[in-house]
Amino acid sequence: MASFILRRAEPKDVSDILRLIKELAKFEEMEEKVILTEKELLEDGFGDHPFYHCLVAEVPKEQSSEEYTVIGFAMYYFTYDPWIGKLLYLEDFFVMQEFRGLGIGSEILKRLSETAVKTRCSSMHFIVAENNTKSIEFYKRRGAADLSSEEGWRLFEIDKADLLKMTSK
Amino acid sequence: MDYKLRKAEPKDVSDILRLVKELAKYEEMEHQVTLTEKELLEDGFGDTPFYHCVIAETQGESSSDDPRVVGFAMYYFTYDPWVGKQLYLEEFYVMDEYRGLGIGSEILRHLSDLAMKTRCTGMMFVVAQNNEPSVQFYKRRGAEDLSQEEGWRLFRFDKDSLVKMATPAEE
Repeated sequence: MASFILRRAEPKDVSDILRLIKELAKFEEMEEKVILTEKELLEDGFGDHPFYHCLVAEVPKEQSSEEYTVIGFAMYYFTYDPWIGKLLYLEDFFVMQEFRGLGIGSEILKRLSETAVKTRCSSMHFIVAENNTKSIEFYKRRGAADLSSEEGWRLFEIDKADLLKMTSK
Repeated sequence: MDYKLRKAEPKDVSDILRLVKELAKYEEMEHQVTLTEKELLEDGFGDTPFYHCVIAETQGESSSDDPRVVGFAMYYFTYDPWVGKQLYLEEFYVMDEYRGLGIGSEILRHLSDLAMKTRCTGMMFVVAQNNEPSVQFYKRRGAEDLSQEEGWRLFRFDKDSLVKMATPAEE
């Protein structure tokens, strides 16, 4: 039975965080879209005002066949619902393939739920690709509701080029 | 009519709550607003603001008139692990009587400027799929429907599920 620990990310973890972000992106066949750098992760996560928070899962060195021991992570931040207040938003959530099925994902979700309840958040939100049935089932088993289905919300984005266009009008 | 945009201040929480309720009423959900002025104050103007607001205020017909808060946008910063900071537009509303004056466009322009200044790579927001006027307002300015294009679906764990997960039953 593999042993692992969950802990808050520290500045030294940014290179592992970036590695895991790229692994998850690769899994979604989008690796080239990751343009974020370790420097930005460091400034944005560990400066005066953190724009994100991370939990990392770590195994003892002997258990990892690679040089690294950080084998999973969750990236989250707080959002605000004008009807009810603070929410915890789960942005990225990934455990390396070789370390799945050990309860690491469940433990991460449990820790996040505790954080949400402690910080008086009314709920946790996150998005899932509609074809990712495994993840959808993982979340639905734990009580997650598909708001896109139930409430018809659609997520929109205005990208940088169009933002720039608007600023110069 | 003259109006100006400015950052919200603690004194604005009662107008913010009023406009949040007006927008909720427009969506026929007014009873779902359980947030209080006290929470808006703590959450927006404490050590760590959980949201930011830009307010649209009219100067009034004459100099003796009190300025009136007639529109607002509530936003916060999110983080995309591929590209970094994003500006998330949570709520955006101009009172009915004050529409068609360019206030909405000006708010959006102000937010775009802010997003650029804070080095955000995009602005995101959700729109109800049956809200045609809003969908068009945003699409005219270049917004893409990610739900359509990328198949993302928004999920939620409510408080009950969170509490259940935070303290699981013995296995």
